[in-house]
Amino acid sequence: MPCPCQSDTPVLTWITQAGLFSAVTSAFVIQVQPGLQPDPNEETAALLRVLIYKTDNTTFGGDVPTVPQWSGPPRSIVQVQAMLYASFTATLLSAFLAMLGKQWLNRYGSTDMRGTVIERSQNRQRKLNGIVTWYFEHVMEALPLMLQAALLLLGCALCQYLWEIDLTVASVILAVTSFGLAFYFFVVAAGAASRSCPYQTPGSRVLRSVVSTVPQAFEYALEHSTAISILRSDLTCCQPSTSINNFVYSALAILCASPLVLLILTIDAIRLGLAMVNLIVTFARRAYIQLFGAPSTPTRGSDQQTTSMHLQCVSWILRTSQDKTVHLSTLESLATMVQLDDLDPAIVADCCDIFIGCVKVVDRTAMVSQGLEPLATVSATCLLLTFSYLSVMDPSSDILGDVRHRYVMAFGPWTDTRSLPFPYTIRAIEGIIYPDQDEQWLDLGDYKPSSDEHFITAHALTKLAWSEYKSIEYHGKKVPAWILRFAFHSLSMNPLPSTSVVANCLSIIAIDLDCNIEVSSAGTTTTDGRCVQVQ
Amino acid sequence: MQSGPEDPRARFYEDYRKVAEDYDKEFMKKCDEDLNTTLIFVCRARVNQIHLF
Repeated sequence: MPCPCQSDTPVLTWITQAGLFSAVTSAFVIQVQPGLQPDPNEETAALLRVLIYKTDNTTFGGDVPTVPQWSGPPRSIVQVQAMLYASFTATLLSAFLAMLGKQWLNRYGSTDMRGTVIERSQNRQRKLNGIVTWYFEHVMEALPLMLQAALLLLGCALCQYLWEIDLTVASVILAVTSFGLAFYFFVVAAGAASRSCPYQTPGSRVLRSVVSTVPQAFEYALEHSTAISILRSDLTCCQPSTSINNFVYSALAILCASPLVLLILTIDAIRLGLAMVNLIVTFARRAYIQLFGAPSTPTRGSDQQTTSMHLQCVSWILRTSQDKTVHLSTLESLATMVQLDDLDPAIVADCCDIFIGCVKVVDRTAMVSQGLEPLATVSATCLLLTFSYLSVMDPSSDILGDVRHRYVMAFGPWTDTRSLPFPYTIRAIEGIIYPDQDEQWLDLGDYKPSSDEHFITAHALTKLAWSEYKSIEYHGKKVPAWILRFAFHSLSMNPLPSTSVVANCLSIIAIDLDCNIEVSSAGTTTTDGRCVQVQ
Repeated sequence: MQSGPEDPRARFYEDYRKVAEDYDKEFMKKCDEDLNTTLIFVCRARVNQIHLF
């Protein structure tokens, strides 16, 4: 069954309404237009009166007819016509933008005939990014808004024009226009309040974004508020453990400082304004960077740009497609990437969702759904890669907490995941999610991981160990014990794993021993050429 | 870099091309319908305006 929103019915309805609207507007303009010019009939009648008066000066009694001088159109007619012409201008402007929009769409839809599939796809992704960055869809949605504004102007003009002629008729028109306006505002508010409301309009989206943005600005201002910080410091010193005198002194101090309160609040108000300006500046800066590039950003190599664009393609397709075959090829391609610069944090959540979707829990035992083994394996690998990368690069990211929450909600610490066919990967993931559990790697028995699984796990854990060692918060705790267990477990294998894995395991131990690791070429964990200096 | 079907990246971009084609077709159809509506509407208004002046 085709989607109703894709049928031609709404378009035909709009066209009918548009035709009616334009016909009504034009008829009304024709009616009002003569009011802007001197009335020739009135002038002729005045001249005839003067002529009759010259022939027989008793016809009009004591009145002496004169030829009236035209002093311009009445003010109300000028206002009415101004609104009508504004309505016409708005429709013409929307037509102009619509024509431009068609050109923009043609440019977007045009495919490059040269280049490989990868280059053309990345070029298309670049254009799509531009559409999102430059709010193309918002501009397109503004066109009906302009037409709605034109309709409102017509209603206002009609009301004012009829007000001068007949109050009863004008009242009817005013009531209907007011009802239409009130209904429109209700529809916008309802659409903004509930996403499931069917009466969605562009205004609803704008209102929703304003409602969600303004509290952020308030929050920012409150965080940096002088008054709030003073009150917080006073309340902090008024803990139950301190004496009651401290509380009294603090209250007295606030009262004595009351003349300063106004000043402080004024400063806070200015800060709130600055927070609002900050939002606008952020948008302007974004536009500037799009136009002229970031001047302070060093020029990036073509490989890095390609990697970044590839990650954007991955992020887009994971958000867009629900096809598991597409997910499989996407994640297989992601798993081959060693450098994840400019990783979109949303990819971590996507990998987590796909992995959770492949695994079912039966009697507290996790098992892969039938037919989804390859997808489960590669999504677990990607989850480990991206999750560890984000933990290293942005430990304060909200996505990390979100992914932990999703994982715990899906499995929880009580679920047995040992039966999953990729135990190294899953233990590494759970090591990051439950850092306090220390029994990983002890119950693996004689399991031999594949070289890929072993390499990726070692690579991710070495980065994590390095980051935890480098971070100030964990300084002194050295490498977490569970990562060390992995290194020792891997080195105790017979035969030894690949050289890369051995290099990574030795690096983990060297980090724990407080040694400096100097990498001979790019990457901390991707090369085997490292130099360990014992301090 | 491998370029055959065994290359995960090449396979990914082949899937990407298909998904992007479908997405772009729907996106452009939606935008084009909206623009057509605007243009037809304004066209009528413009005809009436020319008649007026």
